[in-house]
Amino acid sequence: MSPKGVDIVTVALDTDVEAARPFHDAAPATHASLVDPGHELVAHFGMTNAPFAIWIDEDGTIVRPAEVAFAPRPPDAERPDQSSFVAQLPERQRTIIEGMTANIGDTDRYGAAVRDWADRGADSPYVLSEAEVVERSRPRPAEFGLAAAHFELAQHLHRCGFARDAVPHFAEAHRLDPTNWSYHREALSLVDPEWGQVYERDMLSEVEAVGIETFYPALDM
Amino acid sequence: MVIDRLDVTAEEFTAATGWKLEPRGACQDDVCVPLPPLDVDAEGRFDATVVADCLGMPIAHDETHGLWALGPRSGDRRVLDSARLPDLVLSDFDGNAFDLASARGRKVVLVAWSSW
Repeated sequence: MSPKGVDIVTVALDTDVEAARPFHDAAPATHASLVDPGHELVAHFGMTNAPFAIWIDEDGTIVRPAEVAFAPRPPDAERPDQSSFVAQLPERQRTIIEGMTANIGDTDRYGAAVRDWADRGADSPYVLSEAEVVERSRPRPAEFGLAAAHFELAQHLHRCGFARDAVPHFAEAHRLDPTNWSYHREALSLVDPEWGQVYERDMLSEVEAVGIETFYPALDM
Repeated sequence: MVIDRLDVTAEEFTAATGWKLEPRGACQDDVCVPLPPLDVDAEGRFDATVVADCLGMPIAHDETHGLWALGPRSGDRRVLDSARLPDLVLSDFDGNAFDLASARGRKVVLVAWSSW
């Protein structure tokens, strides 16, 4: 992509940067590979899960707001077959996981859209107007803003060594903004297994309760 | 930003929120929000909740640790106020700062991923 004038910049949304480092080290990046322990991308752009992406043009204008952005998958023969693993799960788990991932199967479409933008620039049909970008960005009602404040408190307490005290604020952030899965997934990743179950429900039950379709919302492109 | 007291100075409020207090109100970029007269004490401190309320910034509180966090402007609005890329400087894995504005002149796909 780079020769065509498209730079990929990746950002790890991990409160604990060291959790992301092994992945970074395993695939040395030729592009800018950044970290965002404060989840600024969530606050600024409304990324509610990962992987999510935005497009920024040469003038610094966002031309596509935050949306699910899975990279094109390698050919079947070159990737591990997870379908057999999922098929062995109990029916309820299998149904939830299949629902969660139903919208990521068409990864080639997203990659093709990026290539079209690389080739045609502003003439690409995937480029949105400024008004469309704002309109398609996530609503931020008062409860979502309060959720962001609780999430910030939780992150602060965790970083300061008060990990257990962070839990109620992580939980409150998720309760107030349940479809922002970056809050819930980050919180779960920071729980010490020795604490036992600190949140009311396990991940799959939570997804089922909130809405399976909210986990990876369908691409609108 | 997390703060440990709600009576703040104008400098502290700006550091926490990015909004400057000017005679015409709380201002950021081209936007100014009118404020009521603030009750400022001898140290230049005022009640942050008054300004936060005018700006639509919710406040979360942790009683145990005596901390507050001011949330982003919210209400009848969206995450993006405009399509302009905000000022944003992140770090790479070695701690080197990376200003997203440095990519100006090229198209950028900014991808968030995570270990979770």
